[in-house]
Amino acid sequence: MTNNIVTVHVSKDIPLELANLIGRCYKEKPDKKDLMELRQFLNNNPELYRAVFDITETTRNNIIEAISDIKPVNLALTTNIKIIREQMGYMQSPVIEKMLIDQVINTWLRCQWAELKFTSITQSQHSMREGEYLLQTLEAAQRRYLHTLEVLVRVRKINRSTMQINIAENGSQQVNIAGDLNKR
Amino acid sequence: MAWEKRGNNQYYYRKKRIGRHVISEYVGNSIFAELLANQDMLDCKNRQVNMKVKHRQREQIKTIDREIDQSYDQAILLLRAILLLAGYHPHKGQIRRRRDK
Repeated sequence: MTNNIVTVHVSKDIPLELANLIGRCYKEKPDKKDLMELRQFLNNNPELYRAVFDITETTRNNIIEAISDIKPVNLALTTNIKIIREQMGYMQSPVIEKMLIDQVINTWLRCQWAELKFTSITQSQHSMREGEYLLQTLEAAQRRYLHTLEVLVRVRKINRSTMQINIAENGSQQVNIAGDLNKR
Repeated sequence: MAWEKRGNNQYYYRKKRIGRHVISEYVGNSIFAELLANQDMLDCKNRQVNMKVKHRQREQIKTIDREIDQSYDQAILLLRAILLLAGYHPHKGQIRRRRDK
């Protein structure tokens, strides 16, 4: 296992201006002017999407390097990730889902790393403090992974426009019919 | 761990912490004491190296967790922007679509 401290080299970041703009718009009734400004900002800076994907990929590579510095192991992990990504429907998904699938993969990898570390330490002599620390990081990694999965599920639900019809008559049971408007 | 002078001779004492107190444990000045002293010194060095490795590993964990959080935050920020522009808005922790008028 490598002991090198990995640092991220991000060329482009989400600017503070955009973060503030989204903060202003992210409310129940956003100002139309702010929304226009947001649209214009994203149209003028299409490379922002690329930046998010780049950061995610760099992070993933750093986690893989941290898990093992043995090349065949890295290659096996990378191949496994590609398969999992495909199973999650990466290629057919819209950009926002792709971003989230990448996040799910990263948090899943982090979980694997945390579990590996925790298992290896519990099999050898270790201090109580060390065990507690690794258990805490494992729990945090699992929380992160579940949260990201939840967000992906919610976004997928939103993306599939569903229609629900409620049929109710006096004295009878209510019938709910729900279905996809855009079947894939 | 220390060699302490008593009269004209040096004796090896091991130090132990018991609760808030540090106690000295007499070992002696024989060849065995010297061997034990060398062994203790090696153990101490090993502990220091292990501590450094553990410290570096913790730093690595922290760095990677920070990277994951940062990339997640940026993705969520962009996701919010896309949803807002697609006509969605937050409502009591949920994301809802504005009704077309």
